[in-house]
Amino acid sequence: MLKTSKLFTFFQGVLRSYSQIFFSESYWFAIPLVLVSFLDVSAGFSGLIAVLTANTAASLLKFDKLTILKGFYGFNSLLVGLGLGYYFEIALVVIIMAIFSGFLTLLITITFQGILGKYYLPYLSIPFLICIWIVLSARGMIQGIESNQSGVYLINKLFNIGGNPVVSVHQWWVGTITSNFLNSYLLSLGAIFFQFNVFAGIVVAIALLFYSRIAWVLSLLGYSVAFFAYSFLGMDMNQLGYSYIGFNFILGAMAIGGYFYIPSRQSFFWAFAITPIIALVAAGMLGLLKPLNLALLSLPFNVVLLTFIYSLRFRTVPSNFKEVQIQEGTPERNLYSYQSFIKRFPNFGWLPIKLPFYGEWLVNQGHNGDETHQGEWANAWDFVIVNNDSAQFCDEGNFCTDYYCFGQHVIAPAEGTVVIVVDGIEDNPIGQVNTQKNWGNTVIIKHAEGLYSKLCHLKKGSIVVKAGDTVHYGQIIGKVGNSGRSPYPHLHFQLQATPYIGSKTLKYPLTAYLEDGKEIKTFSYPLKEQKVKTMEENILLKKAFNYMPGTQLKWSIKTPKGKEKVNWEIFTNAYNKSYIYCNSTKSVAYFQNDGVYFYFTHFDGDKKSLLHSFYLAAFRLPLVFINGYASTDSLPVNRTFKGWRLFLHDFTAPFYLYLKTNFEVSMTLIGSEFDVDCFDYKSKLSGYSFRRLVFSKNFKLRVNNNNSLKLINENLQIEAVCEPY
Amino acid sequence: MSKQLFERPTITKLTPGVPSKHGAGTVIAPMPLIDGVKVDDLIEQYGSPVYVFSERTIRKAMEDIKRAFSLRYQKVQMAWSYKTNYLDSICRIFHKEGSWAEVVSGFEYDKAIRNGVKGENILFNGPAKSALELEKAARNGSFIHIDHFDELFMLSDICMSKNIEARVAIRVNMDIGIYPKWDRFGLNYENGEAWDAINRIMNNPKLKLMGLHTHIGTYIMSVDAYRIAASKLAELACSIAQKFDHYISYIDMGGGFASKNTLRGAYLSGEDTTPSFEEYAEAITSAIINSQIKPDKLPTLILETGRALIDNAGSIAGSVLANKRLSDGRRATIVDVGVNLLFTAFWYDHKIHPVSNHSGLVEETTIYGPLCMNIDVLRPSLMFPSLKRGDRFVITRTGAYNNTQWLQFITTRPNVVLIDQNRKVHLIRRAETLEDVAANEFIPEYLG
Repeated sequence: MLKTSKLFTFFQGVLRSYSQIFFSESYWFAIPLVLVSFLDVSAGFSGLIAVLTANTAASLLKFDKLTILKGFYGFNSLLVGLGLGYYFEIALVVIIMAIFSGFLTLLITITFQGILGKYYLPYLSIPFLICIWIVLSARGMIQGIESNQSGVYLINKLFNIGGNPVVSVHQWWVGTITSNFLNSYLLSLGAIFFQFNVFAGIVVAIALLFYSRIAWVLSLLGYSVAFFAYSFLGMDMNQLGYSYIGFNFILGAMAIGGYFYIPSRQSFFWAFAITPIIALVAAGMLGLLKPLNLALLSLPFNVVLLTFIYSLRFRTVPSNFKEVQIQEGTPERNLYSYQSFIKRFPNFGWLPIKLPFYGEWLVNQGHNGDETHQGEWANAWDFVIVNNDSAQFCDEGNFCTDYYCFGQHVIAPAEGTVVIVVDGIEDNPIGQVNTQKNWGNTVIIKHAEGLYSKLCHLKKGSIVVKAGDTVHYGQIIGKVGNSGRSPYPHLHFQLQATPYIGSKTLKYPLTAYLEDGKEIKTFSYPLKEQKVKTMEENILLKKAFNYMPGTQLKWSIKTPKGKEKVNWEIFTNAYNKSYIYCNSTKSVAYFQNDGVYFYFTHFDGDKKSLLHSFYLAAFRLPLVFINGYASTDSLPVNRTFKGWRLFLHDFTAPFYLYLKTNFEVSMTLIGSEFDVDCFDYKSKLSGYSFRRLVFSKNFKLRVNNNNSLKLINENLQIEAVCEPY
Repeated sequence: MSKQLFERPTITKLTPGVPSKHGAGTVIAPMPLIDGVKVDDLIEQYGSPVYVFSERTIRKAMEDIKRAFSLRYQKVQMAWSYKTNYLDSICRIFHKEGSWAEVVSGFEYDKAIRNGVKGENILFNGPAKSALELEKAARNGSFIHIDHFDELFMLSDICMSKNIEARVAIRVNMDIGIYPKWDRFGLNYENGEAWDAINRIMNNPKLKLMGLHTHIGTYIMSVDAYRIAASKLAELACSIAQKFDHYISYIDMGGGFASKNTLRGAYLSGEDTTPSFEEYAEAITSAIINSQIKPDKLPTLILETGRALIDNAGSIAGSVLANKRLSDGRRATIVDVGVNLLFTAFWYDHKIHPVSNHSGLVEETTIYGPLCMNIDVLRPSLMFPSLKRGDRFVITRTGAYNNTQWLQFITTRPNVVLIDQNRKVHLIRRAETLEDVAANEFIPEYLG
């Protein structure tokens, strides 16, 4: 078992080396590519040997398994092997050369991984370029290699592959399809695999279309821009078709438009705009390389792409042209995940900082306030307490003690260490300010490197912490006062990057609060005149969704077909991401729990499994109970649509998403406040195409007070019960 | 030009020099409006006397107490004390503000249900619950606050024989360092009866211990008493958690917060001496938070505050019937509000304001009610301006207990009106008639 799985992994690595040439990790996409590479048997064979060599060597030398598996170590060797087999007729000496050059390419690959990796840059096909130049230049020294002539005798080659029918199809093509544009596009696609015929091009184009619509459109875009640029500039059109230059534009457009950047209007613009530059570089490089007798190959693409990616990192504002952070494998996946991610987690990765008080307060001055929150101190909040008539005080408000907030507890907004305490400044009489010591009595807490919170205008003598104390969230640190530049009692709260009094403010969101008594906010910025309150967590729900690694979920499922049992287990991966693993279907569902919501972030595996139903039903569940609250979210389109709808949608996706999947969940409490029997979540998925409802799915999830779960998928009539865990 | 004010001449002692310990004389402000509505209009439309409630004041008081507690404690639940005032409209205002109901009799229990309170949101207190009432409360899932062992045994029997479960709490009394000790209600903490009852409940499969309740007294001016009571209940909760691994859902601190009325015989005015909601809240919540109860097991805090929430919202508007001189030369004013309508006159020195302007001269006066009974004295002695027959006045802070403890004596009881938040006046209880009073009477045939 173990052995076969090892062999399978190795096999996957080899296959993916083929798809990696198109920046893909899909191994079924590799199958047509492998076939294409064998159109020229010599090239195909030599390429396979080179990639086998590289991947075997990488495995034996214990290089990173995942990198091998994804084909990153293999694809340059593959290209070298293909080139070798293309230029030289396959023979023992060529096989030996393929082995050596495959290994050499691996070494060069790893070297460039090291060099460029420091700059977070990809090595692209640079190792291939270096190695193929070396190998081709070495040909004069090595005896017994024959030039491969099959490229010249195309008909012979086609006959060898498929006999007369193939030849007649070829004749028909040559006779009928005379479009220079189409033919040289297909030739360029084939040329990527050193296959110099339209058949290879057609297979690659179709495979590419099924692998990714966006990539396919981009390949066409890059090529057509180049084609028209060449015709416009009156450059030699033959270069495009017949000397391995065309694919530079194809790969360049794909890389910029959809692989290294999130597909969007901007990325398409750059895919478009970069093409003439590649053309310019190609023309220039051709001149430079001629004396050395080296082929241009993919050099222009490599040079331009590296320069482009590297220099664009120095932009001060990333705008909407964003680099892909987590590579998911296809432009579509990157796009849909990104779209969903920025909507769902606009402030992902922040350290949770909560409101520094209990109960409901009013934001009296928000960021960029009219009064004092300006310039370098713009990102701060002032909080006060008001009654239902919006008054901050009772009686006449002539004394500090008339103000509702005066003397209320100020708590640590997150855990940290107290770094500065200032006390002893008198509380001002109402209406007067102390501009000498304008921050008044202050506590500064360090939460992380470069993240400090500052609480100001505290009551004289009320501060109960001292510098060096560690504090936890909710710990009382003092009381609201009226010291410093404060004409009436209020609490000034800001986050800053440096530990000093008077440091400039840092724009940083607050989490887990209720806005105006109805809207749950996570990582957001309270605005002026909003009433805010820290959320009360629900113990039962918190416990129910607190999945720790090792937790086992044992489900009994009742379907129209019969009964079965499945087991799930919780794991946490190396990147600290937790997921549920279904033992029977091998599906995984990644989740996260921020104390306010339980979210699923990703699903892989069997879409008929119970885990997939659970993933949909619990895509986003509030863990706090607010009567009548409905939470909404939207699922990535590619997780909920399939078939032709999704296929067509991919074409417009970078520009306009007309498919949409909305998620809505409402919750009800069953039992009474003190005796909660269970919480019922009702979730509904609605898929829309141009605002027309295409499908809807309904789920019910019940969380019982003994920690057992019940999940009902109304559409599939599945009812499943999970034992208490 | 308006008519000049005439008051009968009075003789007052001139005291030159520094003011006495009572300060620089008494100023009694006229009170032409109640919550923005003219008292004259109210009396003209609804007769004299008339009870007047201000919805705005009630909601303001609720807001104040909720703010005071919720800024300090996460889970706070108010329960309206029916016995303080169970006029349906008043109860419904409190329920609309989120209050549950705290009742002490089957009658009040049914009233709460009629007012739309869910059974599971009723706290059933009191020493005199009947078997039928207990069974009904248990079936409705109400919280039954056990007052004594006989009740515990009775409830246990009912639950066993009818095979129902009951949600219970026990009322605990304890020494909190103040006098008088309220040890007649509930089970004592110090002598171990409370712990005994807890053990019996925990071992009874039909009874579910939901909370602990105490009510340390009424008009308690010491916040420390609450601090002690809350920490003792928290200790009990910890013992329960330790012994039975059971976490109670709530701690009910009862009521007893002082209103701003001045107690009879008090030297200083209640406005100056009674603690604010903030002070009570600080004492109670810090005692619970600082106890050994684990932070994620902190129980809900229930408050049954009655008096402090409704007293200020109620007033009685009435008229002067007559004036006379007593044998010692003191003036006596007879008004149309007697102790049958203002029961709390026995406890408080109620403030009385004339409706119209007066000269500002005051004289020591005794204010009598209209009953033909010697005890009918509203204020034995106060400095009061001279009012003529027919002049109107307002007695403030009469909202608590007067509409539940009032007596139908000699005459019928008057109208009760509510001024809503838009200053619209609603009749919420019409004046009684002879027919109302006689409706329940039967005359044996031979007297017919």
